[in-house]
Amino acid sequence: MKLQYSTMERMTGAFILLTLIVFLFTVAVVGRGKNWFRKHVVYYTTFEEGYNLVSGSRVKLLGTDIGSVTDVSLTKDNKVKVQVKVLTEYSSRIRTNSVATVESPTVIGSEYINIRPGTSKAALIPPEGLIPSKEKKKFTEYLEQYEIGEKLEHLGKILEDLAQITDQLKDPKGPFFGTFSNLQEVTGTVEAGEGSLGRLIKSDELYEHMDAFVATLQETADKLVRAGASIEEGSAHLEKATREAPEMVDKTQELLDRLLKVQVILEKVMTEVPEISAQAREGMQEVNRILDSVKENFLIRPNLPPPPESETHGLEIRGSQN
Amino acid sequence: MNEPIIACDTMEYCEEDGTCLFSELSFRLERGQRGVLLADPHRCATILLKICATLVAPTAGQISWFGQSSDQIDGQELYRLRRRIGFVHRETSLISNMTILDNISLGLQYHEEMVREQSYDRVAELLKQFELYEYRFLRPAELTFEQRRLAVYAREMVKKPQLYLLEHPSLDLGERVYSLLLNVFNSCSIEDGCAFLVASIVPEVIHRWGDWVLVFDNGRCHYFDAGQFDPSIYRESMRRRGALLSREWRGE
Amino acid sequence: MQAEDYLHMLTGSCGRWILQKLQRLADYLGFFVVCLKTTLRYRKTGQRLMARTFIQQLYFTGVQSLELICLIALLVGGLVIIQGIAQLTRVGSRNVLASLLTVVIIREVGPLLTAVVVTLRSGSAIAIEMGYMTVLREIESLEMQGIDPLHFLTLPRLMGVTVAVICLIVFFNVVSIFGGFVVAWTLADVTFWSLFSDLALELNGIDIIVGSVKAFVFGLTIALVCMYHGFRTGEAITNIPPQVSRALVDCFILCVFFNVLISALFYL
Repeated sequence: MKLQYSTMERMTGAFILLTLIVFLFTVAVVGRGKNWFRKHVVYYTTFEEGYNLVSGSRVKLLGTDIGSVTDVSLTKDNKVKVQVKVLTEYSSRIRTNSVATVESPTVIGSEYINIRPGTSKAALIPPEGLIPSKEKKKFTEYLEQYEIGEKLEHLGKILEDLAQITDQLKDPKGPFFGTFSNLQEVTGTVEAGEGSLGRLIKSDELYEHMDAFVATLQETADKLVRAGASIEEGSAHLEKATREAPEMVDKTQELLDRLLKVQVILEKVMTEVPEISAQAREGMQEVNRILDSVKENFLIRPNLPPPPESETHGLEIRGSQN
Repeated sequence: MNEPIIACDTMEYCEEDGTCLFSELSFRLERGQRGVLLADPHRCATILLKICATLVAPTAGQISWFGQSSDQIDGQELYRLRRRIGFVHRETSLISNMTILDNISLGLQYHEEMVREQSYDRVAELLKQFELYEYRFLRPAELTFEQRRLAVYAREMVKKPQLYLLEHPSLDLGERVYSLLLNVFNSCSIEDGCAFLVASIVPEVIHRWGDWVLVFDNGRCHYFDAGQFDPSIYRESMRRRGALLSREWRGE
Repeated sequence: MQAEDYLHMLTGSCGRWILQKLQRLADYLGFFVVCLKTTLRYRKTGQRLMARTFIQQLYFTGVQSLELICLIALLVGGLVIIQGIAQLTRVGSRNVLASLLTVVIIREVGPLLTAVVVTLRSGSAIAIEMGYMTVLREIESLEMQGIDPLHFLTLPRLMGVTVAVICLIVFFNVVSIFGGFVVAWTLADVTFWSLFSDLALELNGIDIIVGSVKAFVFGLTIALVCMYHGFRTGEAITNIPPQVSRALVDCFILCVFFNVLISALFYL
């Protein structure tokens, strides 16, 4: 036998051998991924429908791959019989109280069989035995489960209500615009210094009277304190007066406190009135903007009545008039 | 009577356009015999050689080789038959991507399952005889015309055929090499009883190769024994008819 | 000319075109059958010589094409992953890169590109070699040696090219996966083992079978079509270029056609 080989022969041999090695390695890798080289146990299960199960569909135990569907066929009593092969190492968990269900990661499509393991007290299902099954929920059942129909109904009602509210809001004679016009009127009157509140807030004379009154009160109080001190000094002589004096002092003090409080309130009112007026104007502008955006909403827009022909009740216009 | 190596009976060959190159052709080539084909146009002789070499089928008539009729021969038998025929056409060539040694020993390696070295040993003597031994590892393109032609003859001789079909055997060969070739073929004819059918445009070839001669003249065939045939008369008749004269033809 | 004449011309030319294509397909099929018959007839003849010619063909088509195939595979693998990352990032599904490699390269692009490379490199060489052998009457010489050219020339080339294509497709797949991994690792921080385990999950036994079937069919097609056109060259040397060109075009079209056919048969 010739034992000397040419370079061409050696390289060709190496090429073929390398290919064979790579090919076998690929087969091994694929086989490992597909569990070709592991032992399986065959079981059967039946369903009312096929649920898109095909040969090769996965079989999972608590969501973990443990095998695959090997055959799907129809039985004589019009049920779908599914043959599954399960890795031997997991066969101990397939018991008489295990339940096989068809599930799908996306309500419909890529269906697989999920097996709920049985309890250890239940008997093992022998190879080629039948695993109890539970039918897969239909799409309509999913709808029922999540009350999707009811929720859609509610949404419809809400939209209807919203449309009604918008109608009412849009009515120039409605309560919304009525309230706002009243508010506008009140703030205008206050700002103009008319009416009791307006006069109260805007009258400089009243303020001066009040100021003078507070000063008088302050003076009176001082005098009373001084009188009290005199009275205390002559307490021994004026026992009756002494008994009545503290009560009188208390009353006077109370009066004084009340007057002081009134003064503080009045000062505060005096400083806040222009701010309240500005806030009210801003509030009206804000409401106007909200109304505009509400009108722009695609849900509400179709439900709005047509705008009044010539009346201009824009809040800004009215605001600017003030 | 010996079994003929080739026997033609009322053979005819017409081309696709209907032109018949020859018809009613009958001849026999016996073991050890040597026949010469002279033709005008030369294509007649070339086609007849190819028919004898089993490469072309006649359009009518019968031809048999070694007693086997053409209609009895199937595909595999045809290749077996070809191994008994040495055919050197003027355009026959060597296989260009093989060395001279591989070209010549190819038949041995293929048919007899010989290991390369073993087949090389078998052809070494012949290569030495044809002065090709030192060029044995060269490819055909690296040889001269003469060497290539000799290599073709050597390749055919390795088969040890019983019939040689040769076209212009003197083509591309110098006088010395041609004589060498003639000697080899003579010994083959005498010792092994090989038959030769030679096609040529040179009528004098009859002196070296012919026991008989077939002259094709416008579709008609004339048979002559070697003693009856006068090359000068043939040459003169061709010249009168204005046939294209080659350098050899003019005797230059 | 009348409308009827135009209609006749249209239907006639269309029919002739279809019949010519069918005729050529039938010729290829016939040539294949004759080659098979010849192989069976001479199965015990010239085995040693044939083995040597087979090795030469395998060396030329397989070993010498390896670097070209590896380079193309590396680039194509990278390219597929680049596009995969670019497109899949938009939908946030980078984890399907292995699936992309399996579907695009192992099932479709690998076999087809390998066939194209082998056609361009070896198919053309075979067609030219056969063409020259016919023109230079080397085929006739072989016949006069008692050697059937269909056996001596066709069988080793058929086997050599087919085995080479099978091997080259395996290499193409492996190298393109490696190229894809390099790009995936660089651009998407995909680890080798995650890609590898995804591939192992994605690849099926059917992919290996389909790859092998495709390789076998492509190898046979390339060798047969190129041999056929080489033998059809005739006596004029000027016939070689058109025959080679026709051989390469037919090889490409047939390979694409068989690719679609085999994929449809196995995956639909």
